[in-house]
Amino acid sequence: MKKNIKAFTLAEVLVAIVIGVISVAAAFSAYNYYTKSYESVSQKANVNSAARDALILITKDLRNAGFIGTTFLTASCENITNMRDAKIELASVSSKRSGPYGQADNLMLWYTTSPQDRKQVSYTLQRKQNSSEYYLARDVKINPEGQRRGGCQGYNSAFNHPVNNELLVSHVEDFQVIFKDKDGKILAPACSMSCGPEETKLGNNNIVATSYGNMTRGQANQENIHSADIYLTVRSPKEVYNSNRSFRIVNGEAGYGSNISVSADKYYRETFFASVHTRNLSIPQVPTTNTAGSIGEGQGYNK
Amino acid sequence: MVNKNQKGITVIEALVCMVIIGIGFVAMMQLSAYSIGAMDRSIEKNKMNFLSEMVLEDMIGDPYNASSYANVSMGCTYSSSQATSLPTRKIDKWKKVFSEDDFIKFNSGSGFKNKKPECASGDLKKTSVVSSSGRTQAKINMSTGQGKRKKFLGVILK
Repeated sequence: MKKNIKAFTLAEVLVAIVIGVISVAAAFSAYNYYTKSYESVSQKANVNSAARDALILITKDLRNAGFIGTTFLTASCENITNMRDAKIELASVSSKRSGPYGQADNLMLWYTTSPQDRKQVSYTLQRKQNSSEYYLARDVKINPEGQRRGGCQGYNSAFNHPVNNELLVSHVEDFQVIFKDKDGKILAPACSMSCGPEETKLGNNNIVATSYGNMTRGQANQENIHSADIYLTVRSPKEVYNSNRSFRIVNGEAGYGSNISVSADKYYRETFFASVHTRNLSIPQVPTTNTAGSIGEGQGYNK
Repeated sequence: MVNKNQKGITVIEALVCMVIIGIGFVAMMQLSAYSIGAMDRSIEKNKMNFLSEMVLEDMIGDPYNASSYANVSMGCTYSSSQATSLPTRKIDKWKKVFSEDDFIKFNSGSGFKNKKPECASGDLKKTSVVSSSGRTQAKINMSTGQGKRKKFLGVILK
């Protein structure tokens, strides 16, 4: 055999292959690890930005809730008496709750947007088709009361229902809204028409005298809402953790909020919170013309 | 017989070369680990920004009691207090929310734990209210990174 051939020996080639494989494996596992952690962080970031955007929108609507412009035309298709009754509604009664764990609230509110038009906005949890997932939906109707009574000119459902349960945040597990009065005490129930079982429990105490006449407790409470606490619990669309973990979601005060136990899985969950001062529900006492600088300068709020 | 005159690189040279490349590789990995960590931390900081908006919103809702909201410090832990008025109820809520007490708990096998927000000793969230010549201003000061990074959010209440 000729000994002078220039080449690697078998042993050299094997050592080279082993070293090569080890370094490729190291690079691959490191790449894998970083892709995974990048994936989990971006899931968190997506959940955060979606939920925050939704809370900003809800906050904006709650600040407007109950606003009836001074220029609003009484002769428009919306009836001013009905408007006074319907400012905000929170379906927080057990029979009206929704969501994957049946504890989420439904929020509905009204405000005028022009001398003729009044907007109805509702936030509910809706189930996706062929799925067990729920999403936070926003629904907007223009002049709903006038339409219901057939009093609006030029009725056009496409125009008057511009946003039909549009997806705001996906994979929502809980949505809670808790109203508080000017002393920070919880106000429940709050509804425009009838709250149902929650009011029935009150019996004779259900009818309250207000400056607009006798009202049900739920309707009267609408006038006293000074602030709202909003809780939104969202789950990541994909699995994030390596091992199973179970969750307990506690949103809001006991008896009014939710208390949910989630069985063990690998998803990331986060509760987002916002607090809103509802500017147009509990109206500051109108100051006398002699002392008033502006309409917002009342010293107290209606009880 | 090994020909000593072959032109090539020795194993030692090759290994030294690999070690040098490996160091560069590790540095790259640390860079990406750091950037992922930075993303995670920015999510947490973003949360603090939104929570400080909550504090200001509550003060805007009660401008005539502004002085009751002055100099409130929110730390990393929460212990409930007996709240009887609007300011004390709000302050109790801030402390609770900033420490994320009770919101969401997880159990990865050793009992339920609170999800703690990023909060190091030396971190500070403190309100301040200044009234002068008929104008009341409210501010929330935040310092994170053990007091190294400072910022504030402020609003004119009335």
